Amino acid sequence: MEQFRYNDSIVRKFIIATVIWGIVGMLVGVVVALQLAYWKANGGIPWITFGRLRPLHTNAVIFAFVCNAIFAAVYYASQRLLKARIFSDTLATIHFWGWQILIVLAAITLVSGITVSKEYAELEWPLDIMVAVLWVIFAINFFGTIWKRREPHLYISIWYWIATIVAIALLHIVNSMALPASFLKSYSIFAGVQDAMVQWWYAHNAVGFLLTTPILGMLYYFVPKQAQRPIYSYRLGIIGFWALIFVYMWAGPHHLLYTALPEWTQTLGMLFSLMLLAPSWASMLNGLLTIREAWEKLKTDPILKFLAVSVTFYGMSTFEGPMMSIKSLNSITHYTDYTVGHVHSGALGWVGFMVIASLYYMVPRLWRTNLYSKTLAETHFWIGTVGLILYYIPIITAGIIQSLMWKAFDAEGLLKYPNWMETVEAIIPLYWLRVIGGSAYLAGVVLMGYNLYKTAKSADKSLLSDELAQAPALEPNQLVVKRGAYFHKFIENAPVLLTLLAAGLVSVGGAVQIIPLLLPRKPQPIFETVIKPLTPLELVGKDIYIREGCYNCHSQMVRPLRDELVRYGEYSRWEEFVYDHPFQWGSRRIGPDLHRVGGKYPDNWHYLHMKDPRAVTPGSIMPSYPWLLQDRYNLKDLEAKMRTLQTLGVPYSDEEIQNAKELLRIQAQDIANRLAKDGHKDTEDKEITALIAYLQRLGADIKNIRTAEK
Amino acid sequence: MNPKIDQPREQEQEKLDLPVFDGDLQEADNPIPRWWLALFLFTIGFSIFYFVWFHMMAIGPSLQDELKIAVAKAKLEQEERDRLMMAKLEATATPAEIGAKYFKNFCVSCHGQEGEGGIGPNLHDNYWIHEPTAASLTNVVFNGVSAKGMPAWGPILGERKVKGLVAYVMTLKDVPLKIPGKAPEGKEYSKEQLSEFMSNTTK
Repeated sequence: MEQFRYNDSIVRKFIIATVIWGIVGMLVGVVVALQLAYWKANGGIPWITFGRLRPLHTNAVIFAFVCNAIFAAVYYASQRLLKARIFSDTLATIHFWGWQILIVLAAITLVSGITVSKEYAELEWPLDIMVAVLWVIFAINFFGTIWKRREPHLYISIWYWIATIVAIALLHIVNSMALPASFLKSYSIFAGVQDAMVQWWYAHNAVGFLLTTPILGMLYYFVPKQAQRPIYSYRLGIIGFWALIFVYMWAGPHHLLYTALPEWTQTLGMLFSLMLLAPSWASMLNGLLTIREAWEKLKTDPILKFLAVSVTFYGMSTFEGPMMSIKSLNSITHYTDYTVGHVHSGALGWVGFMVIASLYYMVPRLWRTNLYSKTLAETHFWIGTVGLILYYIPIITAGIIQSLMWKAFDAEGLLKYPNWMETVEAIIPLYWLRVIGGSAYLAGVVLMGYNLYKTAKSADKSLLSDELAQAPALEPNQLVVKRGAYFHKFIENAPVLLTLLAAGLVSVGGAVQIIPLLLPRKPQPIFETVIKPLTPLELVGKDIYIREGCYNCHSQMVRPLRDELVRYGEYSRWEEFVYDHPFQWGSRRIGPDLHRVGGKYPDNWHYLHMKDPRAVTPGSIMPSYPWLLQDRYNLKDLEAKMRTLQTLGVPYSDEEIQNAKELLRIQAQDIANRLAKDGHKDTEDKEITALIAYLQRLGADIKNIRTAEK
Repeated sequence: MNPKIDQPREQEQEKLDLPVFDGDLQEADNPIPRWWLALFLFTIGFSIFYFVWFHMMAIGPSLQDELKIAVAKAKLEQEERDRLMMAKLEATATPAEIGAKYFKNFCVSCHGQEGEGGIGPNLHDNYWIHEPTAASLTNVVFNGVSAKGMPAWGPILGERKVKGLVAYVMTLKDVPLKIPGKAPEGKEYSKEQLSEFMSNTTK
């Protein structure tokens, strides 16, 4: 028998961070929700306009709240499941503080508009490297603990965490591949369709391997612990695990249905999403059927209540997801608030409640005391559940209303709501309900923070040393699988084999979908001559577009659907994006699509619109951007940026790069002259001019084909 | 759902040769629910069929084909409707009334709430950039003037609403403007000329 102590103090640190970042992240969420209901809530401050704050919200809840919770649960449970102290306390401490510093740096850069504009991967390259290094430290510590283990057999939670670590490393590294132009500016090495595919392969699987697999690992630990019943079916757990990690990685293209992505790739995304339903439900069944055996406890145990609702929402979201991936249904829900509702049923219901349950479970045990108030926990459950429903129902309703209005034709065969604002005004009341629902959910979490704080405060400090445990040392003969046992036991005793198998399986989907797009592809001849890279001024404008986070509300992808042709114009072709590093297709239309906005309005319209959107679009909920009218654009890195893009294959000639500033000046002067006629003086060197140049260029190349044809 | 649920678990754990993890974690050996397996196999079978049908054999229409069909169908319906609509047009609300409604929705952002002008010209004064006849103004609204930033409204609003808009704009010359209007643009016409040009509006 060997005696050893679990490292509990690192788990306590991660728990404290989870609670604090949870409150911060959700508070930012409530603020952005409020900004959609009442645009003035941004106070006219550039740093907290919707386009900059929404990435902060998503990053904070995913990478600050959920990741810290995962680290806490993994460090807590894996030590106990493997009967070993963490491999290295030092690495764990570096992991903890490194991650918190990363979060602070991420928050500062995101509100400053330093972003690569790829959703849930917005951080610029120095921070991307920091994420990678910290993830490797986490991996070393986790696999080191497995190596040091005294339990021969790996429990199912450990499998899920192995898959998480491998998959996230792969996703993060591939999607973050970019060429720096300066210390805080880089361009994705992928362009247009490739970039879109890589990004949504990443984003979909970040949901899969940060918001699903590690949480499933938590389900398999905390559900049977709290229910005090065995997991319902071992076999269902096995098939669910392997099927889920393999199939998940193929479903990314369901974010790109009806786009310029090759149709066979879109179809794969849809079909693998459908095939994901059963593997997802395997764990839901295992969770619910385990809880069902402790049904009588459900009445009195708030932790079990959180777990039951969490697993139920997991089942709902994983049904809704495949349905939304069916092409015809996706053409209705995509770009609308329905997607936001779907995400939040998963995030607030499934992930949020699982994390909350794990915190209520771990804190009394780690602080060696009883929960301060069960009544408060019970209250939290009800406030949280009501908040969740009050968030979900209005926002999916808003999504459906939007979609129906966007697609409605009147008796004359014309768009029934050609004025975009009608489709916005119709859902503002639902935006208000969402603010209330979100606030209730946040209030519940604050209540939990208080409850856990009081619990920790009541702890007897002399008892806070690391928990003592004992187990016999691992002997090699324990790893031999008994004759007649399930074949799978062989894998479960062999972490290296299990890791390699998981790594192999998670790599296939992305490889099949991404590699064909990287091969040279011949554009249709008519596009070859007209599609040109952005001019220097337009490039400066695009970087402003990225900085202000315009992609958070505006798509640049007209789908081949009749209503979109009438509303926006010609549908988008892949050839139009071959120089688009990074792509700006967006995922949501809080405002209208912009891919065909080039040439639609005069420069003066854009000038007045940026100054105050309501001057030209009464009722608009878009923030005002008066600073664009005053601030001068920065040309310091212009040549470096163009050279970076040239390296990536954008056909800028050396001459163009050398004369970039002169070319830029000529185009800026031209726009400034036009603006001057409408009474706007001295705009030549202002950011607005660059932005107008970019907007007027959007989707305009293809119009030259039409002109040439005529 | 499963009869095994209340049976003792010890033998199962024994058969699975699984340890008890972390003091009390165990796994039972209940069978996989049949309907679950059926669902999984169905989605796999459906997916294979779908991919072969739409991509390998290309029997099902592509998204572009579906768009072409939808557009062609809409065009036919449109032509039929236009025939019926034109016949009824005169009998319904006056074109100017229709136009007033659409003006508020689409034109005010450039021509001002009262038509006093802004990004686009003032519509109350006697100055006109294009000849102020119904035919000429309909052409301007329908096809747009891209050099000046006037969008083409025809494809969005259709002929009937465009004609209504023109009829409404023509009534503005008789409405005194209460707020300051934009400086004149284009050629000046006398009251009489305007009345003459605009007299046969709804034809």
